[in-house]
Amino acid sequence: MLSAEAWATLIVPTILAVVVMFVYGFWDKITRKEYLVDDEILGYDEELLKEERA
Amino acid sequence: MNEVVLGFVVYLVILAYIGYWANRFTGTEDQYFVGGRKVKVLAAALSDKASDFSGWLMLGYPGQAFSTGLGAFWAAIGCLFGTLADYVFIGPRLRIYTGKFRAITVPDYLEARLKDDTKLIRILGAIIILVFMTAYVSAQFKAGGKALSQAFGLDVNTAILLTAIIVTAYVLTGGFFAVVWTDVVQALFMVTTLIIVPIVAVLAIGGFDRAIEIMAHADPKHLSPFGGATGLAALIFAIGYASWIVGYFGQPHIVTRYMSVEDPRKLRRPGIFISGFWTILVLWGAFFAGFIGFALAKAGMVQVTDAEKIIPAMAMTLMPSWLAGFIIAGILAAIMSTADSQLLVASSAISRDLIHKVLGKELGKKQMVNIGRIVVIILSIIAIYYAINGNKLVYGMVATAWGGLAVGFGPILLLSLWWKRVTKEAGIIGMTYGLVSEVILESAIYGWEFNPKAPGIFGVIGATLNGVPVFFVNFFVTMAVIILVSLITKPPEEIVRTHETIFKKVPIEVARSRSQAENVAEFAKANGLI
Repeated sequence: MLSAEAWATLIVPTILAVVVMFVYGFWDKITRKEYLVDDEILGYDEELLKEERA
Repeated sequence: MNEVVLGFVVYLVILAYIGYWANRFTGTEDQYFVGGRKVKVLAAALSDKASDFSGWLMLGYPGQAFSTGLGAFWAAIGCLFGTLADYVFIGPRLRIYTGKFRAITVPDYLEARLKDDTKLIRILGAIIILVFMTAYVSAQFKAGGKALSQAFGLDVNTAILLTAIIVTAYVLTGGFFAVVWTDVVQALFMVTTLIIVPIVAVLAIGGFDRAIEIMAHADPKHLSPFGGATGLAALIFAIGYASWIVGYFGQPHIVTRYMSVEDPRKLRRPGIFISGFWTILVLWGAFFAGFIGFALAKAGMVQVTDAEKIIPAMAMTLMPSWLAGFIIAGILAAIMSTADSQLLVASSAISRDLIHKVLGKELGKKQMVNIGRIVVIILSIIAIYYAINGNKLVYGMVATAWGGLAVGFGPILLLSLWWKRVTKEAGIIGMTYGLVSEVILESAIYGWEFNPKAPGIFGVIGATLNGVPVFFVNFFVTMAVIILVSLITKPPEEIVRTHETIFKKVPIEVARSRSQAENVAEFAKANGLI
């Protein structure tokens, strides 16, 4: 049997990582704020946009 | 054997078709190097992880789990939190800045962000990429050589050449779009492989408890979270393995994926979830493959002369040949998905950063793309040479290259995204220090990890930090250098103002445009339909 200490090494950091994912993933919902992103920041390649439109 | 080869060839044909399909999207430099900044987040996130996890995941890391046991899990912890740290600290901010600056390479971004008119940052960035990325690619060729030689009974050097030809051929066909979309297929291959292998291993040995029993009998240290070390030695042991985390901030082939994504906000959601859960699955799978593989070897069920060949050896011994072919393809997927991204980044360092921006050669966009392709061929030849003549261990080769990129780019990228006061002088001095110190410490004094064998005072330091990768300590030294130089120099007002305004946050209702479903819901509500 694997010891409790060994299982803790495997499981505790994994659970902590999932918690980090959810907190960061929903940070905009938690704070009700998000980065302002406009067309200048998106900066899509113009030729690609033309091809998509065509 | 024939079925193994057949499965492998089918897999290559699928990749070739994706490369051919993606070739139509590679008309411009923007498209060739960052997919026109319009790559879907699912593809960007999976490509991020497929590019990150290389032959190290399929050979180097299972090899460590095989040799060290449970203690090697600290490397998985470092990689998992490194992945998350990239999304929290690098991804969205880098995409915002690079979109505004129309930057398509990391040196592009650094030059624009620090307003460097000397071109030194661009030149330094290109050199760091060329030196360490070529070393990194050669590690992938070496890993391919090990996997194919184990699977097909080829001579290792022939297998290295075969790997190099396959990887180079499909980078040449399609550029970034081809790399991203083949990465998506490869990411799925990798995760499936690393779910199948440990399950087959546990079933073959007669259950998990039986494997633990064999390991406890063979070597009790294998079951210790710190490799049998206690006190300070245990802490240094854990840091040594988990130190991969700081390297995540400075890997151009990884952070370029964030620069390519269609919307920086999508890196927060769903980006971090796609990468995070995928990473958990593959790291658990790779760890247990090596960990249980040790028990299989001790029970005499698998013969392996090199710990890093444990997965291909298990595939060929324990699985039907069609499934072994699938597993070998999964290993090659990990190798190819990293090497192709690295070759692309390295080619951008020459064609975009040096020829186009430093030498000012105004060539047509198609010509630039073609120069990039020639560079890929030259770098592949150099990488083949080092794969044949370099370090025997994939784990050590990757750690060396990972460390150079981590120290060269990590501190300046992190600080430039989060601190308005960082200056171009600090960037130039910090990156120069990072490049020179990593080359000297890794090639002439220690190798990739501290050890007591180094001469003079370095031997004393090496004895204290024995086993800790050189780049982990050097990362923080470089960061201190950059902070210090920034504090005694002054950034231009303009870039401070840009930094203060570009990351402005607004209420979520304004920031996220409403979906069609939300519009329909509002219409229905306003008209009393619901």
